[in-house]
Amino acid sequence: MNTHVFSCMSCGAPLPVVDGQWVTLCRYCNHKHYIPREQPPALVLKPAVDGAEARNTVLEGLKHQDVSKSFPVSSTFERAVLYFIPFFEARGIKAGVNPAADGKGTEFAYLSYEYMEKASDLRDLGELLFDFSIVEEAVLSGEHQPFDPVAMRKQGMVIPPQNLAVLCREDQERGREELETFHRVIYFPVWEIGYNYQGVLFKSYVSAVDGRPLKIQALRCHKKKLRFAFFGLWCLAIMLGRAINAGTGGILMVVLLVLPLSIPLLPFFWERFAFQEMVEIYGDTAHFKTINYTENSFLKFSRKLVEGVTGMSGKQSDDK
Amino acid sequence: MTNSSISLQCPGCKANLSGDNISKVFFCLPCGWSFNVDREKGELLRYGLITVEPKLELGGEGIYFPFWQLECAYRVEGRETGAGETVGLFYVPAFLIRNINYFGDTGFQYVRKRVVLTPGPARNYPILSAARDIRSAVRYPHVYLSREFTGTNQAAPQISVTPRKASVALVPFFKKDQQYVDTYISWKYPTGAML
Repeated sequence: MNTHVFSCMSCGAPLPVVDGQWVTLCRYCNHKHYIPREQPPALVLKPAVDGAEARNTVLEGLKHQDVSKSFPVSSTFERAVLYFIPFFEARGIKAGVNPAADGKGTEFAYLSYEYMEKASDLRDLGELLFDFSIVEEAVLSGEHQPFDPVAMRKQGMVIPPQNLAVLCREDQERGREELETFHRVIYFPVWEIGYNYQGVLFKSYVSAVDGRPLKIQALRCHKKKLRFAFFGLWCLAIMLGRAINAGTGGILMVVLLVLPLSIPLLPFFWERFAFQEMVEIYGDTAHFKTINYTENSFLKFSRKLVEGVTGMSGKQSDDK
Repeated sequence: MTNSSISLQCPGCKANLSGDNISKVFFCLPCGWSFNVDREKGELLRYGLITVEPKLELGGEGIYFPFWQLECAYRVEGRETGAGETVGLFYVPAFLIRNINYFGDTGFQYVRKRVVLTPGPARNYPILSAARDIRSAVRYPHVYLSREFTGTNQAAPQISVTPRKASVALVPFFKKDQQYVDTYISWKYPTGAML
């Protein structure tokens, strides 16, 4: 966030002003100033949820069926950080006389439009699939706090807005005169809750306005697939054992029967050594991504064995 | 646009003017003045300020909604009176609302129903942010008249409007059941519809 320094008109003291701040008070003599800025004025949504509540929300989210049961137990809570994420909001009003819809005569037509855009690419936070209606709902129903960048930085991290060009989009409506346009930056507070599992940081995000989970990131649960794989292999072993027993003898049948018994050991190795997948939960949908551990030859062998037995691919993301 | 700052102290009493980060119009209630920021020239334009007496005492939490009160002379083709131009008062909201058809708003209804707002002593109510400045507000009397006098199956009449005087009227609304209600025509704004 760019800071510019002006001088107080009363006492001459430095008056630091950041982008989005149009009204400021001198901290020495309390003289109020209006400073026209290029960046639209800012509206800040007040965080109503603290870090502990956000963490509890994440723990509830970790009960999802696609999350590994060992993850909440084995992972270590690492951090809770509050971010103020910027959004651009633009709205306008147009009015004019148009030919009537039925083609007869004229009618007075009024149009109001509004749209919202992300004001930052959020690279440092990972990609949050933001539904703008969450921000709009928060603007309408949530509490606002004064735009004070110093106070905001004491609360958490402020993401600077970028890419003002998105506000130049024109809504074309023939015959209607643009009466006015309004732009502003909305700062939406979000908690980032980090859990560490075997050296990998899993970040979940919770709205600080109403405590709803925005994204839950955790270790994927494979137990269901392993159970199906175990059951299928067990049936296959029995069928093969019976077939071979008819021709060859009991040794092969024993081998094939023992093989399925060793499969329950695979989850132990899976969790500890093999490639793993993370699950990202947005509302009702879950996305899966591979966590790339460094593979030595044993891990590579283990992964290929598991891929061959269970049919699961560890190298491609698989969206559900 | 000027890069310098504009003082938001009342030139009369030297107190800080009321208004926040999104305001374009600021107020000094003790002196009865409102000030519109002229960003191009880097100065404050002074206008009158009227606090309106509620028509009914509804009780509950009160809040002032700022309206531009514009005295305009206007002429509508085909509806001229013998005197030529007609002079009327137009009320244009100085606050911003969302998701509501503009022509359902209070200002237009005050004009349509010929409401006369009664001045009264200032009350200790908060004032809603006034984010619509005078340059935008003066365009709306023409819009009101166009809306009122453009009929179907007719060509739009020629309308000319000349603003003569402007001031800000602080109209008291009262909060009831998640709505702000005015006391003149019982117009209601959902609290969630405010900016």
